[in-house]
Amino acid sequence: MTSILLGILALILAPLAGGLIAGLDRRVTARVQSRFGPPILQPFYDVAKLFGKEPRMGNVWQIFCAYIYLLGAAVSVFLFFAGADLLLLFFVQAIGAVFLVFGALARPSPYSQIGAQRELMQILTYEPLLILVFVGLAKATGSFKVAAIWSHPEPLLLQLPLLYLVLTTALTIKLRKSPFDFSTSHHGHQEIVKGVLTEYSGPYLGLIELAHWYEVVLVLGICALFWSTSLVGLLVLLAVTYAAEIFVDNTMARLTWRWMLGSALLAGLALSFLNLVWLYLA
Amino acid sequence: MARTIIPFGPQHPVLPEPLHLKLVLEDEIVQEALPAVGYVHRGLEKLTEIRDFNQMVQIVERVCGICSMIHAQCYCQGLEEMLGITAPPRARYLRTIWSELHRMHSHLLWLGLFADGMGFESQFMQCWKIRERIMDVNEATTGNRVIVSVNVVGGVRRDLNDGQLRWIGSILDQVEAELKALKKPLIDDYTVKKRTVGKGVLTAEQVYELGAAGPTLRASGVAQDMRMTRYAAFDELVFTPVVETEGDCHARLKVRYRELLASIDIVRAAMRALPEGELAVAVKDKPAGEIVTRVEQPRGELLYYLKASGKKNLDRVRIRTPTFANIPPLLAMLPGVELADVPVVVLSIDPCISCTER
Amino acid sequence: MFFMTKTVFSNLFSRYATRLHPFVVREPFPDARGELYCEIEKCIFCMTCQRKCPSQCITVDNKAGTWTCDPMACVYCGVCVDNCPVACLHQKQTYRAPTPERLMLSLTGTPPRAARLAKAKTPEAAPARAGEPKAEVPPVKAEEPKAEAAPEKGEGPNEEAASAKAEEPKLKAAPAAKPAAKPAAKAQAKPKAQAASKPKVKAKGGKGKA
Repeated sequence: MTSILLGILALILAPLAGGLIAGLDRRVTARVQSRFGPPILQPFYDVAKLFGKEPRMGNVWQIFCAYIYLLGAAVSVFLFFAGADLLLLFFVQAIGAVFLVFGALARPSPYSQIGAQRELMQILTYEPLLILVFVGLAKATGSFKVAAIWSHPEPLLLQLPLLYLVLTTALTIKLRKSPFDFSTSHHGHQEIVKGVLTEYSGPYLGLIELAHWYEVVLVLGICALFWSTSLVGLLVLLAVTYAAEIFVDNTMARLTWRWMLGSALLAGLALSFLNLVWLYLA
Repeated sequence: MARTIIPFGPQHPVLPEPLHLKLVLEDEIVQEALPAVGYVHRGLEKLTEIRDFNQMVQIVERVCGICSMIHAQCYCQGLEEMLGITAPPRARYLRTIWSELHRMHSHLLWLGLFADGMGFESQFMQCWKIRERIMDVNEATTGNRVIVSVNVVGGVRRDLNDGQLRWIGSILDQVEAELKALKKPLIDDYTVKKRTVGKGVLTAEQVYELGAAGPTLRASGVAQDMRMTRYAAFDELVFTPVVETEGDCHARLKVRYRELLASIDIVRAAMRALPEGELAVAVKDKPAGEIVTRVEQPRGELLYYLKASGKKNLDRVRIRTPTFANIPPLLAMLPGVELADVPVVVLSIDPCISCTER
Repeated sequence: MFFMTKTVFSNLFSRYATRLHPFVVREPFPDARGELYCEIEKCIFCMTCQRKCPSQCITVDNKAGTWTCDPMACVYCGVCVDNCPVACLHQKQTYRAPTPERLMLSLTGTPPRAARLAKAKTPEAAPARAGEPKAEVPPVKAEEPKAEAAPEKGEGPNEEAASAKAEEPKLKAAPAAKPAAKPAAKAQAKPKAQAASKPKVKAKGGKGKA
């Protein structure tokens, strides 16, 4: 019962946390680029404005896909905070991600189409990495249950440092930060403009932004599992991880999906296997 | 992915200028690029029929929003030659100083946009931060930031005093230090190299055949720079063109970066050697005759053809800008390039469509 | 890959380079070319500015005595300022603030023809009339004698623009050419015997300080 309550609480708080993180991110990124930056609450203003706009969409599929994407992201956050199975959560999350691609494919716009193709490539890259991380967590703690992993007596980071690195790569892809901002980017100065999001506007774009916040909270939650023993350790780990994301975003140019499949995926797989082998031997 | 045609421009967030290309893609690889020119045609050449030859100085400045000084300089040099007068030495040196400052701010703007084109947003801000110092110099010495309006037929309209010269010198020192600090994160960076090395390669023969101009030409190893024709103060200043040999986007990046440093040296040398004297000579006659005049714009060779017949309006002003010359090389670069690299390759010629379409 | 590190950290821990524009405004540079304005009391309605303006934003009516500038069309080049024979045009150092509606800068003065007619009617009143605008513009002290002379000079080409063959107007005013600035230059008491535009620049600098 408490777990379900916790899940519902997370469902309400996750978008707030996600928006706040996005606002902080924008502010810190601005300072790193020697700009002043927007107010911390700017993401909320943006989304509120999007919801205030006239709903106009090309076809019903897009609307349906936007809702399913939000549903997938929200349900996976609920499952995570309710302490459910990591594998179940993984598949629910994947459904949401795939429906984002469907939504983009539902329109004939070449930017949207190419963005969808690239998003598929990104899914293809981070999903295997994510499942390897889950396998590592299960191997170290003996359970796929989030609740069981959460109550593991010692910080998992010490056992799974390489897998944590792999998880941060997946986080970079999910956050759509350089060098992995191919399918869509936080600013539209890209060859395919906004990629998968090109054909979305108004309240439906707001839904997608909301879903994005849920996803960020989910991946950060999975990061938090690596130091679940103390609240201070957890917060420090998350802060350092996010700061590193901003740092990487600002020290690198955008690369290409060919590079991602060629180098990033291979490196991620190699690191994961190394860590898993180490777990078996230890 | 099947064969797709992507409209790339004229309104595209990655493009600083309304270039219009239709890209034929197969599996995100460009098969063919089809250009369309004429989106921002403003009919500036035609204005010569209703504006007299002195007013045309301000009109030609508005051909390009980035290298306005150099357009006006080219036009004034042409008319001066036609009228048989020479600008006083001090005016020629001042023109050199301001045009090199324009080259610097244009190249810094380009460096920023180029970085932005490959998703390197922090570098964009970095370059534009440095550029702002040069914009300040422009505003303080000429009165305007971009379209400086200091040229007249016969000379220049503004002077630099000793205090201003010292101040420019100190700004240049600062800019030079910041530029040197920019080399490693911009030129030698792994991700930048990954995105630029080997992209859009043209050999020296190809660029020469295709009629490329400016850094596009020099990055492929052809040492051709209109400043070698010794116009303005270049007859007395030491000048060697910046040349790289690889012919790819990284080489074009390096050429522009090194030209920035070279421009600092030229401005310093010109300030040291700045002769005393008049700023302008009076123009008594109306121009008559035909003339072709060339200067080096940040993007390459700028050519003005002027025709007059002793009236206060010129008969014809024909402007050929470097971007126009660089479009055929661009079309030769694009086939075989990934879609993700299209912005990098397109920006590597530093397209100025407002110039091209006048 | 991480050559940018130093820049990132120095940016993070130093002040931002941008300016929060409407709230923080940089001091204008002393020679910046900003909004155009006209000291209409000194204006002789010679129409030089209208002829010289590359964007044709100035309209002068020498019958009605109006001087109108469309600030939206002005390109801030300062050509009119350089060519004004009586130096009554100036540029502020700052730009006009943005407005939601189109504003025309419209000024009304006394055109020289009307002034001369008034002079012809009441000859004794004329000096006082001519003296008035001078008293109103204290900043330009050195120009007292010239300001009086200028309307007369300007009148020549003004009323007889077509038959401008008389050598006096050609020598002194001739608004179409650069020598027009010479009378103004002489009044500056700086006989630097240089091109017309040089003393012009000086004159502007001096006023900027005052």
